[in-house]
Amino acid sequence: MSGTPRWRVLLPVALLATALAPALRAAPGGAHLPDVWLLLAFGAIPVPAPFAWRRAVLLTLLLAFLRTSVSSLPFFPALAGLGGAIVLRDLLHRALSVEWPARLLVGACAAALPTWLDARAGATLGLELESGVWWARVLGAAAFWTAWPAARRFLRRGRP
Amino acid sequence: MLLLPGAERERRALLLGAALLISWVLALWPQPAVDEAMRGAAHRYGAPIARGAGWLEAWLRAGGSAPASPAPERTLEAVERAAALPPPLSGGLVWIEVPVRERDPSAGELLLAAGSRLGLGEGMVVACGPHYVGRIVGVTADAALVRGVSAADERTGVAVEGAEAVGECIAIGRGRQGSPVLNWIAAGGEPEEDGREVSFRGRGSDPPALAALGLRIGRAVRQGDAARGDLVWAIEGAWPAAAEGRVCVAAGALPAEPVHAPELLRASAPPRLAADGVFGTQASCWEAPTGFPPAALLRSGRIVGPVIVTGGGAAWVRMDPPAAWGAAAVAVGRERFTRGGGGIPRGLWIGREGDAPPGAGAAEFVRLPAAARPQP
Repeated sequence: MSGTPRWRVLLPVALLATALAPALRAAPGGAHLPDVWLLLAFGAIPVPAPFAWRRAVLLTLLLAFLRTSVSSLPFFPALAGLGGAIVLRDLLHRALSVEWPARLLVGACAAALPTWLDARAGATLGLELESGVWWARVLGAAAFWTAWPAARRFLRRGRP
Repeated sequence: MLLLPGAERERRALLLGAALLISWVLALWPQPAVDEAMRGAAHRYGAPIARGAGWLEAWLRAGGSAPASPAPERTLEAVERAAALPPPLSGGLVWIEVPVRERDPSAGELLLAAGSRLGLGEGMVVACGPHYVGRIVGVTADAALVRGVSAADERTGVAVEGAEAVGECIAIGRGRQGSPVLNWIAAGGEPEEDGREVSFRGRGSDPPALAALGLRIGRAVRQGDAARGDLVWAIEGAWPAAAEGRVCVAAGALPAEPVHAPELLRASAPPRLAADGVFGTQASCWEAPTGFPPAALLRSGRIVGPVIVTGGGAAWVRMDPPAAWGAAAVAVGRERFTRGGGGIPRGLWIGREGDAPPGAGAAEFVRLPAAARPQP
């Protein structure tokens, strides 16, 4: 499980991201930013999925809980969206190559699931995700997933 | 149970797949009780995080709130009061002005915010300006139920103007099924063409002064096909818009005390979070009041928006700009006011077209308390 960050790193990062998320969303253009909890899940849960899945499951549950605590959306769309994105990313990643166009496609497909669920659940409350915002969030998350290996190499530089 | 690594992996995949499937089912077909419990837990135990996020958001946005709009020149209440007064009555009758508490136009029913305590009783005629609204069919001490011409199976004596004579008929309401139909008392009294005016004629027991007013109801139109034998005369027309807010009841005497609008439930609303983590400035979170479920949030005399979600001590409010209210608003010139319904009182100031939701000032939750519905 060398690819999975430790809880003592993950937990403060997740709490900080949750505390910053409403301010980021309220900033000009903030509605177009990708979902921070999805990015955390993409970054913290490796592919292919590790044999011990407990940490990945607990992290997904924690991120869904944190997301619900600062949003009007219910818990289950958040959990289903994050869980679905992680599973779909894993399945597609195994099937496709690891080159960047394939990573972009995998990231976009995986991010489309929670974004669609957000739009659907928001519509029942009278909250709207415009199509431009929807695409920006999906492509933003896909770009993150494409750039993640390089970012990770940069973060881990100098370590054995 | 000892399982080989491959089998163990399959077992975990199955368990996880089942859990994911359940969460998808609950996301696509939400169960209100489950959602409420989970949201309540997240908002209760996540309150410190939400408050911290709110503090961060306020610190980053310091001094960025929109300027307050000047107060409206006229209130909806003043406009409706001027429009609701019918022609003067004679014969010892007077009009009592009564606010409307709830409305159901499709069923043809209104619930008034006064009852027998202020002298209202069954059978009294209700009007709004020169229009007939209906008749009181049930009262409690503080509420009265009015059924209009279109209410299901409601029978109203009406007069239809003709080229030479006035036809007398009974209008029979059909509720949500359609417009009320006309049942002619005298054969051959039908008008020659569509569009003839239908006015209130009343019952034999009504004071003649009421029938003499000729309160308007609508216009007679033909519906159906004569060749198929289903041609009927129906009344086309709706209540005037002001009747959703204020009507006048014909009574024998004025009440000892004036009729006031119903008292609202109010509670201060401390802010928790100014923006939603997923939907941004479309929603904001406030500390929910104890004692009543809030319906809307008021700030600086303007309504911010309806409460969309409550639970775990938090209440989420949709930040609707005036243009987003649509049919839930009443326009008076450029001003928009709430139309009322769903616990939101009528006549709260929304703002002007193009205004942003109010971003500063003391906030309070409001709700119109529910009233016992009189039985007809």
